[in-house]
Amino acid sequence: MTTEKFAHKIRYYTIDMIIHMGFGHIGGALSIVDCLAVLYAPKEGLLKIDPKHPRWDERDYFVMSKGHAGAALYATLASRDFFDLKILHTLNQPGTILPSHVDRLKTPGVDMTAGSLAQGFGASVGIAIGARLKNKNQKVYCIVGDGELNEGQCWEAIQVAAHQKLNNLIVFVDDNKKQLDGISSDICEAFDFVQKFDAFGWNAIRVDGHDHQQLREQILKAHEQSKPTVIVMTTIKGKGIEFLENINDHHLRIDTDEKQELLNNAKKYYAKKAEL
Amino acid sequence: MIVQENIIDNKEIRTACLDGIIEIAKKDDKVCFIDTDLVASSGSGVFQKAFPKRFFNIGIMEAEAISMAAGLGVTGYKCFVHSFAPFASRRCFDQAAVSSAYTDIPIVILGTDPGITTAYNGGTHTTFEDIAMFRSLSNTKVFDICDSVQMYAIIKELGQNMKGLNYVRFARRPSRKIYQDEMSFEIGKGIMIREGIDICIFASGAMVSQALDTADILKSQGKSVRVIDLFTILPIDKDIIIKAAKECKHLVALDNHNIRGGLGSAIAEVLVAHHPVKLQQIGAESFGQVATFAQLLDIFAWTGDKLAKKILKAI
Repeated sequence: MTTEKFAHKIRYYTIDMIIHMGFGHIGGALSIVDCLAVLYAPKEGLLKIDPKHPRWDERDYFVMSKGHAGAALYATLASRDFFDLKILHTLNQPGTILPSHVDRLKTPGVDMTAGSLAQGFGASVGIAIGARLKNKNQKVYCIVGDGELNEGQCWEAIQVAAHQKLNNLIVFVDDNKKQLDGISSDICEAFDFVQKFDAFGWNAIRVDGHDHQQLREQILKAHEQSKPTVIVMTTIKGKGIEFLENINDHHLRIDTDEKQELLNNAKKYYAKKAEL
Repeated sequence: MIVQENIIDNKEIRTACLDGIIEIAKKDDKVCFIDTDLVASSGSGVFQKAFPKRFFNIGIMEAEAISMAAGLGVTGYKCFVHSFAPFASRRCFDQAAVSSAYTDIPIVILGTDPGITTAYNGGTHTTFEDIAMFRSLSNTKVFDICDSVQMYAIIKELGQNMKGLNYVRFARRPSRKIYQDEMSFEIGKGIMIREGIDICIFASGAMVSQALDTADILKSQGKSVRVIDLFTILPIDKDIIIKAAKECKHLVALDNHNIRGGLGSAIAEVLVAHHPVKLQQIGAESFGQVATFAQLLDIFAWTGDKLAKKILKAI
């Protein structure tokens, strides 16, 4: 399956989950779908994983540091048969294995618990060190939010990764330029992430986070590096649903018939694109 | 006899700690050590020398040290993480709570020089809150260590069977040796180091020595004093507390910690639920300050004679 088609599938299931739940972090989930597709697509995806053995000792690791975007990861993992697609409708329900923020003890395929921001990023540095100690050529991928980079601990992790020359660590910044209270630069100007990571000793590049070819190329280039890589993804929060792309709604609540209809239309659109 | 009479501990507690960790690391290649620009203080250079690949001095980053340890845990490694007690607790509590305890990734946090053992480092470094913080977490064990014998035994036990979050607070340098070398310890079990029925003093860590001094003075005044070392504060030894409450006329808890949430609070919770009797809680009710350890004992009125007076007054 092409990564593009797999992205349609992830979008379909992400939208379906949020419609079923009635609310959720859909904007920040949709902005990283293309990155997830490039990593997780069957055959064409770059991650070394075995859905039948989620804790396979030789797998590549993936950490969703922006843990609230769990819905997109769940849609991805279910689409790769880590668990049954039917479980997606239990998102955020009492007793679910799919909590609002990712949890390694609850969901097959989730490598690290996240939700207290920056800790996933911080842990991925430890995972990369552990993977290197094991000497099995395992990669560690981590998605961090641009708002999440407000957190001081991220910059601790960035320093340690650079000092340790963790060339098996590839971090994606979901630079959708919006966070809970609105436009990120209105809250705390981040300046240029590429310059900042570069100054901290990383291999840093910016890509269009919805362009699969760019993402794939830069991930493969990162594998040749002697230092950690950050791929700053210019993304659109809510990517793939027009009305969502233009609003500042971090926690979308489907509280009008109009929103319901727009989401249903989007769902149908992606079902067709994904040939579901 | 468990207790040695006024013998200076020739071995530093930190040395016993590292000895124990190295012992485990020789048998288990998954054991790592993370220090936070305090190698000279913890003495962890010996681990670095023995196992350079499994040693990380990451700089002054306590929060990242914990998350990094958790990450190493994801790949099967087991980390000991060191910082001074205030930074090993207050500074990285959320990381410890979420990345280790909640996520069930085994880590041992070593918090050195808690309470007034911080001495010249003063009030900013005086940790009177760490027990309260870690005691409130599930899937966590909390230890307050009194001498090198106890340290070595507990570290070996924790390292061989590391589960969940473990917080171990201890003074780097000891006051006196409490236990004989062959002494064994069971996690979650307190130790009665003096028998008596008039007064029972519960203590842990640096306060065990103070409790013994106090017991000596009270004994000279005709009181029979029981002293119990509750080195495991979480889980607390309910049985030894309830037994003491039934058998002794007056109960005292000594805390090298704020009286809110420390050892005394842990004992009080057991008493209220199982055998409600009065408990005299002695501990800090302010922040710390700069002085030698001996001077701070005097300032806080935690010397044997001042404690004895306070206890007699309360009876």
